[in-house]
Amino acid sequence: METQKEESVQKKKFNYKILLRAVLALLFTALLIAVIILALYTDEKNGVIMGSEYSFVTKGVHSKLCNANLISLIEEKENLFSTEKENSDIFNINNAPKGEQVKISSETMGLLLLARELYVKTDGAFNIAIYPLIELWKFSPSTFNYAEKQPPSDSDIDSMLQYCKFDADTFILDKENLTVTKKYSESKLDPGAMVKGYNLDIARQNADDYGISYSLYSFGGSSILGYKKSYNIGIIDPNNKERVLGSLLLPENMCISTSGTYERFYKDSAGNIYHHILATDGKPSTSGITGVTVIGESGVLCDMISTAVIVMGLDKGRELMLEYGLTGIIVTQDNKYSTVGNIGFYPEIDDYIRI
Amino acid sequence: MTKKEKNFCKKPFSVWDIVIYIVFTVFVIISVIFVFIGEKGNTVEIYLDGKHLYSFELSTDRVIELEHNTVVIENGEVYISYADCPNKICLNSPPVSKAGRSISCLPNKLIVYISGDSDYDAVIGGGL
Amino acid sequence: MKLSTQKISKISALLTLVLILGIIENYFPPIIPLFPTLKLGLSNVIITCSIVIAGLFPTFIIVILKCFVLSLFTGNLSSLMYSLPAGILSLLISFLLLKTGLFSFPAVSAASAGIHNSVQIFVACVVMQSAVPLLYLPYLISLGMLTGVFTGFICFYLLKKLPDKFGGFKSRFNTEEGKAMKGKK
Repeated sequence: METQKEESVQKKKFNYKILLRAVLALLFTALLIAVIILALYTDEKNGVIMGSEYSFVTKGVHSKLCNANLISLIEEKENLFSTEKENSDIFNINNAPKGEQVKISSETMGLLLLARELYVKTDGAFNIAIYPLIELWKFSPSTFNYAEKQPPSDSDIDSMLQYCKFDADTFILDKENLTVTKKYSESKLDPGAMVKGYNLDIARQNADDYGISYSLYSFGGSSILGYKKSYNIGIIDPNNKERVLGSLLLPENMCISTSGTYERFYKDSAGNIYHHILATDGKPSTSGITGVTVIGESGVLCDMISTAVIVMGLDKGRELMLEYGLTGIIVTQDNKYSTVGNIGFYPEIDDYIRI
Repeated sequence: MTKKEKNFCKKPFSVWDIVIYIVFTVFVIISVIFVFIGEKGNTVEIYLDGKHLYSFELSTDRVIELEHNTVVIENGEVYISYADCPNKICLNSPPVSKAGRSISCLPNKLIVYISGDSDYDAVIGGGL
Repeated sequence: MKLSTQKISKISALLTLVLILGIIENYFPPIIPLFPTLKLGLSNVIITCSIVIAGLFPTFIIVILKCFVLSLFTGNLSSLMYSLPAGILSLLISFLLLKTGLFSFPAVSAASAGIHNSVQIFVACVVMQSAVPLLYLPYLISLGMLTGVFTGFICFYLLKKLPDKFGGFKSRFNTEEGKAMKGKK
C-alpha cells in the first residue's frame, strides 16, 4: 500500500516535471519566433532624391534606422554631385571660369577619376563632359520635355564639341590638391550617368554597417542592388515599355543597371526621333542599340558601362563588358537581343531574335 | 531515479486516430476555402516627399486631387492627369496597371506605385 | 534533469542518426517538383522514437542541434527561420499526443508532419509579407500527413523491435523476451 502511494506521488512529481518542461519549451519557441520576426521586420521607403525615384525594401531589426541613414547619406551627396544645387562641387566646376582651380572633395575627385579612366578606355564613348551638348539638345533635367522641337543645327553642335572633351587637357584633375581646372569656361560636367550606380554602392556599405538581414534597393528604376539575397528582376523591353522582355536572377550582393535610349527623347516636325544618349560626334548614337542591362559587383561601374555600351555598339560594347568581368543583355532596335557572359535570362517574348 | 513508465499506444492503429484525421481534414478544407475567398487585389500606393500618403484599390475608379498633381484610377489603370511641374513629363507617361510599375512626378516628389503580387521582385528599365 | 554520460551518449547516437538521415533526405530529388520543400521525413522517425527512448528534453536538444547543423551543412543559414519553429512545434505536438496514449504512432507522426509543414508556410508568409504561401497550405498539409503515416509506421515497428526502453509493449510480443529485456537501460 505504501509503495503504491509512493509510486503515485512519484508519478505526480514526474508528471509535473514533464509539464514544466513542455511549458519551458513552448516559451522558448515563442522567444525564438519573436527573434525571427524581429529579424524580418520590414521597412519600405519610396521617394524622390537627387531628381530620381528611389525604392528600398529592407528587412532586419535595424531596417528603419538603416534606411533613414541611407536617405540622409544620399542627400549629402547632392552637395557634391548635383548640377543644379548651388555650391555643390559639380555646380562650382560648371560655373567656374577657365583657369580657376576649383576645390572639390576627395569623394568627387574619386568619381571624376573613375569617369576619366572610362573616358580613356572607351575612347570618349563614356563622357561626363558632354553636359553643354546635353543642354543644347534640351535633354537636361530642367530643359527636357516630350514636346516636339527642332534639333540643334550641325554648326551649333560642332562648335560645342571642343568644350565637351574630358581629356587631361580640357579638364585638369589634380589628385593631390583636389582641384579641377577647366580649359574653357563653357565646359561643364554631369555625373548623372554614374550617380545612381554610386548610390547602390553607398547603400551596400550602409547596409553592412547596420547589419540588416537583407534588402532590395532601387534608384530611378534603372539601378538595383539585391543585398544579401538574390532577386528575380524583370527587364522591361526597351523597344516596348508596356511589356517585359524577360526575367533574370540577380545574384546576391550584385548590382544591375540599365540605360536606354527610351529614357529621354523627342521628335521633330518631320517625325524623326532624337534620344538623349549622345555619341562622340555630339549627336544621338546610331549604334542601333536601344537598351543595355549590366550586372556586376560595383554599382557605379555598371551604371557607367551601361551608358557606354549604347554608344559603342554591340561588338565593342560586349568586349568592354567582358573585359570588366560584367554580364548583361544588349537589346537592339530591330528586335534582337544578345546576352553577355553567363547569365540566367528567361525570355518572355517570342518575337525577338537572340544573337 | 524514477522509472519512466510511459504508456504509449500499443497498436499500429487506434480508434482515436480518426479524431486527428478529421481535425486535419477540417484544416485542409478551411485553407482551401481561404484560397478561393481571398481576392488578390493590387493596390495603388501614393508617396509624396518620401511619405506614404494613401493606398487605394486598383479596381475602384477614383480621382485623387493632390496639391500639385491629380492622380486618376480608371479601368484598372493609373495615370497622372494634371501636374504643375514645368516639364510635364509625368503627363506623357502611359497609364500603368501592373504590380511593381510606377509613375512619378519627380519635381513634385510624387510617386504613384502599384503594389501587389507580381511575377518579379523588381522591374528595371521602365524609363525615368 | 541529470545529464549522465549515458544520456549524453544516447543523445549523440540519436543526433548522429538524425543528421545522417537529414542529409540523405536533402540529396533526394524533390518528390513533387511543385513543392521542393516537401521531404520524406525520415529523420522524423528517429525523433519520434527518441521521444520514447530518451524523453522530451533530450529530444528537444536533438531537434535544435539538428536544425543548426543542417543549416550549417547546406550553407543556408536562413533555413533556420523555417526549420526551428516547425521542428519545435511538431516535436511538442508529437509529445503531447503520444503522452495521452490514445493515438497510434502513424497518426501522431501524421499530425506532427502536418504541423511542421503548416508552420513552415506561416513563417514564409511572414518572411515574404504576403499571403501567397497560404495557397500551398492544403497540398502541403495533406501530403505531409501522408508521409507522416508512413514514417509513423516505421517508427512503430522500429520501437517494437527495440530491445530496451520499450516498456509497455510487452503485450504485443513474446512476453519472455520482453520481460527479460525490460529494465536494461
